[in-house]
Amino acid sequence: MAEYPTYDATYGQPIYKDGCGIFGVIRKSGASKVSNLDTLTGISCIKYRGSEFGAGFALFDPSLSGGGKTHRIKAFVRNQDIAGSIGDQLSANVSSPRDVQLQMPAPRSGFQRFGIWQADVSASDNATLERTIDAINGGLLSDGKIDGRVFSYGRYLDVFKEVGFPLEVAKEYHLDADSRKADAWIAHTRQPTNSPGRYPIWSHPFASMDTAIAHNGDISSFGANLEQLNSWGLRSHVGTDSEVIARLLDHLVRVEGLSLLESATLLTNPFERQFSPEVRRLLIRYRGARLDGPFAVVAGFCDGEDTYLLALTDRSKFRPLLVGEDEGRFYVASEENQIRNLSKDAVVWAPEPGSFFLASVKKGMLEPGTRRKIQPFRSGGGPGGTVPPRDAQAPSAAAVLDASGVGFSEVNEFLRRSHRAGDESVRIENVSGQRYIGIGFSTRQNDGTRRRFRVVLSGYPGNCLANLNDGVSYEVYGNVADDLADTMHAGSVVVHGSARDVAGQTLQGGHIFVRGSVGNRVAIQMREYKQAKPFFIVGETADDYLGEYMAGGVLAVLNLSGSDRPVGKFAATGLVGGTIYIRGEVDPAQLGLPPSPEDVLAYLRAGVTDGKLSKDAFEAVSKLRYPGESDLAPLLPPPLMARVRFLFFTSKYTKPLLSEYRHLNAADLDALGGALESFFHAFNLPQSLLESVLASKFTVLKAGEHKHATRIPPQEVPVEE
Amino acid sequence: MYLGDMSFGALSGVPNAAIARAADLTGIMAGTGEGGLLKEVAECSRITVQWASARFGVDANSLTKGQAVVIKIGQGAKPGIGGHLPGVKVTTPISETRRIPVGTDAISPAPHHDIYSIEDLGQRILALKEATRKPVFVKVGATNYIPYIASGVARMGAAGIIIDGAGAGTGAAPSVVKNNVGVPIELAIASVDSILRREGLRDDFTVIAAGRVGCPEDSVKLIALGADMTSLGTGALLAIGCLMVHKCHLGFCPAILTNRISDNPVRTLSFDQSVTWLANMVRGWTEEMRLIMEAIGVSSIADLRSRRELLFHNGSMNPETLGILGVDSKQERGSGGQAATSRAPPLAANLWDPSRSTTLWELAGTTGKSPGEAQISSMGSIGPPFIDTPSRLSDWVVVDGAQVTRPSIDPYREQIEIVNYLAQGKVRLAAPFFFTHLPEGVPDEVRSIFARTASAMGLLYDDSAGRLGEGPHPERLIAPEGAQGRGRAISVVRMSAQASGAAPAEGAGGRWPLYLRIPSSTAALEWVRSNLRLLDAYHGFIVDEDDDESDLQLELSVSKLERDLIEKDARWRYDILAEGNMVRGSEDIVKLLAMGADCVGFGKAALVAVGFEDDQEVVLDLERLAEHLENLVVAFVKDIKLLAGAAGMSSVASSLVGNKEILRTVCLDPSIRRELGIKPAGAA
Repeated sequence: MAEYPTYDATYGQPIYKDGCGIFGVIRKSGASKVSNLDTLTGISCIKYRGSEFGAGFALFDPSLSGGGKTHRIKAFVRNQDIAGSIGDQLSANVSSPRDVQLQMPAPRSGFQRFGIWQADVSASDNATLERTIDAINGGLLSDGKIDGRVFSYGRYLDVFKEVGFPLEVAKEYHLDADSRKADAWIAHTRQPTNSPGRYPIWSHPFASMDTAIAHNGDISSFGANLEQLNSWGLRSHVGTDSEVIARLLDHLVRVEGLSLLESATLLTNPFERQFSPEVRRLLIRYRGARLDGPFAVVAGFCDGEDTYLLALTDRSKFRPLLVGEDEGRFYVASEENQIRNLSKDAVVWAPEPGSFFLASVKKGMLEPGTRRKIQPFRSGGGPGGTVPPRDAQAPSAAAVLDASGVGFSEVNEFLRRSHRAGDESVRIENVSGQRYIGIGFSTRQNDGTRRRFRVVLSGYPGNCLANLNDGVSYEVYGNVADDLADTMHAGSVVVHGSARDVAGQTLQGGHIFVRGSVGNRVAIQMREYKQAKPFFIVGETADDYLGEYMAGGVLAVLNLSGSDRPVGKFAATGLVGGTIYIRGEVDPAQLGLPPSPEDVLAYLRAGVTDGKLSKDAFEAVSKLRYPGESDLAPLLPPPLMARVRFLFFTSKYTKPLLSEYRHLNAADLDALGGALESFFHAFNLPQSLLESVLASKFTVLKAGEHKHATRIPPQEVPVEE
Repeated sequence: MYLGDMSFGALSGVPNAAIARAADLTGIMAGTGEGGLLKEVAECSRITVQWASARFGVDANSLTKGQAVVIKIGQGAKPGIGGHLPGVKVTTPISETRRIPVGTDAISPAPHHDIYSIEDLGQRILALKEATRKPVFVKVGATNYIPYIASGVARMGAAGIIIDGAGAGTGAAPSVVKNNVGVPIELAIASVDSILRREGLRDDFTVIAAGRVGCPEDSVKLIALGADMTSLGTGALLAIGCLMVHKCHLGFCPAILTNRISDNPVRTLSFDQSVTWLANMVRGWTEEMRLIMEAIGVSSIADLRSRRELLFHNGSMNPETLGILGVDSKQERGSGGQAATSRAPPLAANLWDPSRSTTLWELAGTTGKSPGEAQISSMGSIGPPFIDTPSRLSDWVVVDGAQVTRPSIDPYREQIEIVNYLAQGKVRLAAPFFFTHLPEGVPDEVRSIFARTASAMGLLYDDSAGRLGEGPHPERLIAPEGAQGRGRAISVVRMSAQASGAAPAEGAGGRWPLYLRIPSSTAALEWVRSNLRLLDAYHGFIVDEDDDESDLQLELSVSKLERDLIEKDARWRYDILAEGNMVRGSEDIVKLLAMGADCVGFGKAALVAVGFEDDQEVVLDLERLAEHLENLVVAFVKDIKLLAGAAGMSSVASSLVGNKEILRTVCLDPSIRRELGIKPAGAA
């Protein structure tokens, strides 16, 4: 053996971090079971998210365990002796292992290979089995050595993981031919941030009894979560935040007796204002089980009766997560092409921040992960989508590229070639997840003039489409992924579908039109410069942090299908310039960074005691749905209002947010009207709909002036400290 | 050498141009920062162009102007906090390059909103390579996971990494972050070099060490620890006349380096002179490096890199720290100070130095112009343990800043929850702190103001001496022992009372949650450990460092109590309130929370902040005192959010409390470190 694997625990629990891509699929009742090959397809197509340092699969099915007593134990072992000792400890504490198999791998240069030991045991008592496994694992990772790891011991699941890309790992376990069928699968491709990446013990999925998860992210609450597990008596940790999630979920359901819905709520850690007193009680009781920091998790669970697929996203939705549905299945994925490769016409949606998706074979979809109506906006048309797109009228393209199986560099080379050749319009068909399309492309000629260049894409472009765009007109027939048009200076992007997170970051010229919905943090840091005034118009809805840090330009959310929540939380926080128009009324608690009502009320209650506020006025305040700044102002005496504003609503480093709910006036129409007409034209939407939009009331958001506003001192006169 | 990444805006134009030009003349490299490229800078060739979270001044064209692109994730002065150009410096020229309104603070987002993980960083590196065909470097602040982050950056295809150590210079940063977040560059470099070698990633990957590189000896030592290059920021400014006034953020730099840019400058820096000075400095610096290398028999930088056997220590570092540095503990020369080994509570006399008092005054608005805001300051940290002498254990402890593997959270514009619930939800605390009992001699009317402010701001006031009776604001009082008066939030039994008897009488707390007050002492912890079964009636513990029987600093007693409770699966049942008049400010609060306290009580710090003198008997303006106290509360809230957000936490209650993983010790005696259960800085 070239190198003895080490697990450096000199200073306490070592921590290992990774990024990655995830996938999950579950069949619906009546549909046929899911083949390993579909799972392999679902994870392999995002190979670029992972690395050679680890991948894995888990399947879930009630038929695996006879009578629910047989547990399949799987472990990585450094050598035969280690395998023997695992068997001995199981015999001594649980029962004798049956059907024991040990497969020692072929050596691979640069990698520490472990054998895979597998056996079945009967266990009448899950707690004893778990304690035994924890003790075995504690012995395997001790004294700074890695002797192996029991990585699965459930009844209704089976885990297959190793070092390697997904296809290599699948081959290792003979999952590259149609060999296994199950109710549900999850899969993972790993990108270790830290080392060592050469040992399989850190590959996902991580399993705990009958639960297994695959995770993308980095849990900042890790230290606190670990203490929760320690207090439950679980002592051997492999050192990833991902394993912690699996054990928390399993314990909450199996030992603490919480429902899957309660457990998922707890793990996603909702903001204080979103939960009921019952949920609050749970959150306090199981504080150490709440997860913070970025995560997208896909989990499978089977209790012998039913099989479940669960997907969680953190409260800020920092990691990509999509859910898809077709006739026979639900899918969970990091990127849309994972789903489209399996089900071209699936309905695909993004769960809202801090939410979860849950479905079971028998019960169907229990929680969609969004409170909005799920509908595709694949092409033109009004609500209901019956009007054909303007596609037919598009000018014929000079050049056409079929992007099936083509890498992004080739796509960009095609664009460069066509542009050099003087083409005005090109078409790229069958786009499927390619990133960076058109990055850094400029239509500016040496003489300063611009040449027309139009790119029509059909399919599903990957992240970073049209970044740094300087003059190109893009039209996309399909949904676009994250990071659309980052730092775009000129040109346009028209999306006949939806866009995901962080579209239009620092947009500073040209326009972006999205027919459907947009995700989190859209049009953040949008800004304007002299004549360059950007527009971003969204046909349907937007998630959290819309227009965060915005400094210029015009942003509109038209909510054409009339959702009761056109935007998510924290709209326009840190806005210092520009205007946001949201069709319909937005709850003031969704705007900016609102203080907790409890805090404001406590302050005012003290004001009553101090004689600064009348009891009647306090009564009136406590009846408000939310004590927002504009609602408080008429009710409080001005000196108290000034103090409340200072303590709870403002900061020296941000501007106050002005919000009005009203009809558009002449100035608004001047700013927005032309862009709206172009939007309706681009999507071939009916004139009558435009008229009704123009006649609607909007929530209009702008930056106010500030009592803190930094006055610029006269030149060279020192500011007094 | 690399002259580090100071932006147009932070510097006033001429210095930016001079630094770029000097780099061209001397054949070193200069980073340009995030403020866009001045024409004079863009014309230079030995520059890098920065891609930062606000994208100020970048487009497809400007990105290709340098030798390389630098993705700025963070900086040593404030890992997890975005760049900050104060509104006073955002004049018309800056407004035009950054495209934000005149007079608006330009605070770049704390994270890149397209980079929340290592594979996201990989995506952006590849995107920038595709757009520019240039090598891409990544700049990060040195934080807890720096060796991992460096190996991740190397795997993602970057050409190199710029690692900026704790306490580095800055044009404007929240003091609480500058003084408490990040690990020293020496530990970071040693650890990064070791991990990169172990992973086979060290070849063809450039490691640039930055942050407090003050002299050529520093450069030589950092290269011997494993760096390829060193970067100077403050050093470069000193070469062109910086006087270390530490007021860059105010815009009236007397050396005309960081002053605000106006259309009609009265005084300007001489470009030619600055270039000459900088070039001289670079040449002198490299010459001195050569002399040192000659003296130790090393003929090239390549030959010096990672030669740790050439390094000696002066006896002031413990073997553990030397182990991380890779310096042989037997190689000792000279003598240095000794690391603190005291476990006993600190001496009050050492705690309130003038700079700490000034900070507290500014937060409360007793002086200064930004009441209720986190203090902003410029240039490097002068805090402990690096410059100031540590006075309590928390001074040896630093906090994590999120870099690459997870996003930091921007408290100015994003939600960070600091609310906490005590007694299984019966008591809601708006913030994880409260007012402890005030020292003897403080008049009752001042105590009343504390009680009133506790009530108004949703906190607690510990009226253990029972000086306030029922008062007008009884609903937020921690009651004196035995009192079961109307409407008090929390009832208390002293441990001495409990220790002598059996379990408290049925309903001892009345309607209110019941807490056991214990001294911060070994004996008290021991007693609790063995008598936990008697304590079912209690909701938690108030650990009081001011108790006469206390013989442990709060840091130790809180860590131990929390560990004992976890061991018995009782942590969820009991709250830990830690209090003492030697808790000095928001950084102590945050560190004690991470060590395991649910909330932390302070008193003297608030008295200092509102300008109350020890022997003062009469307070003239109680109204003003109340206002200042409220301001202090709001400012502490912002400080705590800055630290939590920098570490990537959006919830204090669920993520910060008891999360020792976000702490690291710097050169602390290993036996105390182990008692605290915190890993040493630089350890992976």
